[in-house]
Amino acid sequence: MKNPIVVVAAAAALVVGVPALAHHSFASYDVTQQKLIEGTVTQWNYNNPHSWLMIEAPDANGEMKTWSFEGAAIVHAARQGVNGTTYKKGEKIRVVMHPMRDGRNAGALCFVMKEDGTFTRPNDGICDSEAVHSRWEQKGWLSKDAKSLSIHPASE
Amino acid sequence: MQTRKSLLTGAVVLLAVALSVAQAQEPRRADATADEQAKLPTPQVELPPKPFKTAEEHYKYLLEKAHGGTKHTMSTIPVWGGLWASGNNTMPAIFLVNGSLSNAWKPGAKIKEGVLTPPYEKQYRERRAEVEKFGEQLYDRLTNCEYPGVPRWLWEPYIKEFVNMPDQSWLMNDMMNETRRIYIGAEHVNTEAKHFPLGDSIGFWDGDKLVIWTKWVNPADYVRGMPLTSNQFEMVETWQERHNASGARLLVTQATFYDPLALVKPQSAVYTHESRPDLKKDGVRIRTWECDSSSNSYKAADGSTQFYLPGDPQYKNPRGFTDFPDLPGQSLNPIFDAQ
Repeated sequence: MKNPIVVVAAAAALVVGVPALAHHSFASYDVTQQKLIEGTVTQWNYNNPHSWLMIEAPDANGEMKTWSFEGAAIVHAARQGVNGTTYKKGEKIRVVMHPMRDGRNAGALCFVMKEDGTFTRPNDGICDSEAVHSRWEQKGWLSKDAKSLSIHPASE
Repeated sequence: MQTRKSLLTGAVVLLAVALSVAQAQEPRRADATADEQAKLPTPQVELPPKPFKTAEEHYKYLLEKAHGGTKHTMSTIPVWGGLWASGNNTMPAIFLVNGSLSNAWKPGAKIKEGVLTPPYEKQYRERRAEVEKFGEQLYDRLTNCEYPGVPRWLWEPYIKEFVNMPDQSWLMNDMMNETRRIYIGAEHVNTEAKHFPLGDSIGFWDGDKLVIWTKWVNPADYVRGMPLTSNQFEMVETWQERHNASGARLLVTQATFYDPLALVKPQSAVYTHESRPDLKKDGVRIRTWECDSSSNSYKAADGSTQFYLPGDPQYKNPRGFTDFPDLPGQSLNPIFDAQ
């Protein structure tokens, strides 16, 4: 009989998925880091070739700034259960993303948590969103005390 | 024994967490990523019936074997209705040792020697060295809304529709609104005296098999991380609907690439498209693909990919621009604005 631990772990790996191919390189995003931003939705551009989610959130100096997050093309987002009505103007959300290497207020979306705890994943494959979400939950990085702008390594 | 039991319990908990996360939404579909596409079954590559030096020789040989081609009517022509998505393909195996969709654009793959001509192999080594150094190619030509064109069209992982008529076939990809028009029983025409992203395609039917010859194609690439093609690239394809082991509809494309400036000899690959009725349930329809008006990615001076962001003077708001802001009803975003 096969080792049940290996079988179970392989099944878990199948559940969580792997990165995809987009229309441009992701090299300008720092895939070794993941950052939490908490703010209010101002724009949800569910567009090709990439969707972009904009929120207002404080920066490191406490000033309100626009933060921009790149997500998937329409068809890839649709396959992940996201559409043009998923995010509403004024809605409070938490975003976990890979920040830009140059430190600007932007990043590549990994997943988005709504205020009621709903998990959404409009990402374009740069991040294995289910696995990352699971890890963030297990580490307590998504607790209600978690601070916006907190940053964590993508792997141990 | 206790340790084994604890490990097993931990693994079950891990699976339960993963399952509960996945069940928060519809599960990710089996071909949502390139790695997952790479696991889909691929038919065998069918080489041309004999070696040909040119695409023209190849096409004309097949046309003669088909006695000039099957003359279909609207009632006999194969119907490839519904939405389709790219499946697996063997193209990366032409250029990489153990090449697949999983390693086509990622580090760690070794280039097959002698497939590309010396200048194209040199360029490809530089491209792969960049992939090794930075994790992926720093810049993709599609970033600035350039058309994928052929042969890249064959794999672009978006949504396709296929319409066959007796005198034309339309092979449509939502990405960049690229529709390939195949002129059935016709000769090549180029009154513009130039090359095009999708080239010029003619074809004929051999029973339920569509045979296509494409020429006058812009220099492009097979996909990011793969080699460049030259402006002498031509391609002969055969398209046929089959069914996979589970009975699902599958379109199989056997393609042979002729590119005397880039390839030492012609190369063949098989591509698939999978019927995706589930996408209709997701509400997916092919819309006009925006790019020039919605993409803020660009090539930076150092050759990397960068983005204009809100506040940058070059930033394009895909939902925000109008020349007539004082006129009622000019917003490009009326549904979101009404919230």
